[in-house]
Amino acid sequence: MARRLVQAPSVLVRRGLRDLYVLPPGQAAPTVVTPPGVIVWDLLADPISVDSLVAELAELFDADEGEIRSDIEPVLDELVAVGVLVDAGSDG
Amino acid sequence: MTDRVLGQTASPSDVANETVVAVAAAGFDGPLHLPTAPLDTVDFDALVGLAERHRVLGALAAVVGTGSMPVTDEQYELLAARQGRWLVHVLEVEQLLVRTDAVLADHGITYRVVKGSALCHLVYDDPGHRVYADLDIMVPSNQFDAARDSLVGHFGATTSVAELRPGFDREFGKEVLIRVGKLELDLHRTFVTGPFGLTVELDELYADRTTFEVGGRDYPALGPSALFMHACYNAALGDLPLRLSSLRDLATIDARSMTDFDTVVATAQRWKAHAVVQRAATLTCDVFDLDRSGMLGRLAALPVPRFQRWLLRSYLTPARSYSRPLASLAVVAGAGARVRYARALLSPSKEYLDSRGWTSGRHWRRAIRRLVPSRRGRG
Repeated sequence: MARRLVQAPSVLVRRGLRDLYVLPPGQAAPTVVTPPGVIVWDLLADPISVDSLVAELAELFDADEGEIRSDIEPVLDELVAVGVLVDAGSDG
Repeated sequence: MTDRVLGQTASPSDVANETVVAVAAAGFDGPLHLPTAPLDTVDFDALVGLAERHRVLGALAAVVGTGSMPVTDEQYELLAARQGRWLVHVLEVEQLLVRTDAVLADHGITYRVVKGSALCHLVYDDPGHRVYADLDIMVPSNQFDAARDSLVGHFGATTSVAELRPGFDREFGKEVLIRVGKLELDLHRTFVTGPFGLTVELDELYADRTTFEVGGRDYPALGPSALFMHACYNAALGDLPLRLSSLRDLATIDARSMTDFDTVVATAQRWKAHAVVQRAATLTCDVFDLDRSGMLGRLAALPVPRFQRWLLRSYLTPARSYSRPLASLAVVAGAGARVRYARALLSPSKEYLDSRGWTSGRHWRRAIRRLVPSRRGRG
C-alpha cells in the first residue's frame, strides 16, 4: 500500500509572479514555496501517491527517481507536519 | 484630467505615471498601451512604487507574468519580491477573515465581506492579482455594536477613535477601525461617510449575496447589484486622490456582466445615488480611456439631480471632513434623527474629543477654519 497525499483543503493560498504562498490554519506566517516546489504543489491538487509523485517529477526533471525520492520525502513530511498537505489514505 | 484626479505629478517619472494607468486599464480593450521594451531602472522603480500606492501591484505582476509587458531579469526579481511581501500580508488578512467569521457566527451576527478580500476571489482571474491592506466586513446597523464589541473582546483589539456620541456609529457612522495586532479590520455599517452613505438602503445588502471559497469554506459577499454599487461608491468617493484599484474593480465587475443597466439605474434611484454612479462611471471611462458604448459609458451619461450634485461637492472640497457632515444633515430622515445628528456634530462627547487630543473650543475653531478658509489669518 502506497501512502497518498493531497493539498490540505483548509490552507490559504496565493500564487505570485515567481513563488507560491501557503498559510495553513494555526500557522502564524505563510510558507513560501519556490518554483520547483510550485510544480510539486500543483501535482498535489488531487490525491497522489508518493511513488507516483516521485515518478512524475523524475520524468519532468529528467532525474533519477532515487535522488528525487531522497530530496522530496523530508519536504513532504515537513509540509504534512505544518498542515499544508494532508494524508489522503492509501491506494492499495 | 487623469493626473489631477490621481494626484500624480510630472516628476520624477512621467513614464511611470502613464504606465501605471495602462497597467490598471489592461484587459479592458481601451487604447492605452503597455511599454513594448523594459523601462529603465528609475522608471521601473517609480512604477512599482505607484503600483503599490494604487493597489495594482497584482495587475502589474499579471501583465509581466503573461509577457504583455517586458522587463529585465532584475526587474522581474524586484517585482516578484515586492508582490510576495504583499501576498504574505494578504494571507495574514485572509486568516483574520477566517477567525472573524468564527467570532461573528458564535454571536449570530450576519455579515458580508466587502472590498479587496471578497473582490480578489469573486471577480479577478487569480486572487493574487488584487492586493489589499485591510479586512473589510459589513454588518447590519442593529448588529453593529454587538459585532464591534464581540470582535474587540475576542481579539483583545483596540478601536481607532471614540464615537462622536454614544450610539452615533450605529445610527449614522460609516465604520469603526479595529486594530488586531499589526492588522486592521474595518467594520462597516455603510459604504461611505457623509450624505451618500446615509441614503443607501442598507437592508437590501443582506437580502442577496454571492459567496466565495477560502480554505475549503464559503464566505458571504454582497449580491451582484450591491457589489457593483459598492464599487461605484469606492471609485467615486472612496479616496481623494483616488486609487486606480477602485476603477479597476469597477471595470472588472462590469466586464463580468454581473448586473445590468436597468438594475443599476433603479438601485441608484432608490438609494439617491445617481451622482455616485455617474461620477464613478465617468472617472473609469476617462482614466482608462474606455469606449462609451458599454454599460459604463451609458452610466456616465446618467442625468444627476441638482440636489445630488450639491451633495457630491461636499466630498470634493479640502474641507470635506466638515462639509460632508453638514451636507448629511440634509438627508438624515426624521426630525429626531436630525436632532441627534446635529447634537453629535455640535457637541461631541468628551471621550471623542479626548481621543483626538482636542478641546470643545478647538473642535469649533477647526471646523470654522476648514469651512471658511478665507477667514484664515484675520486678526
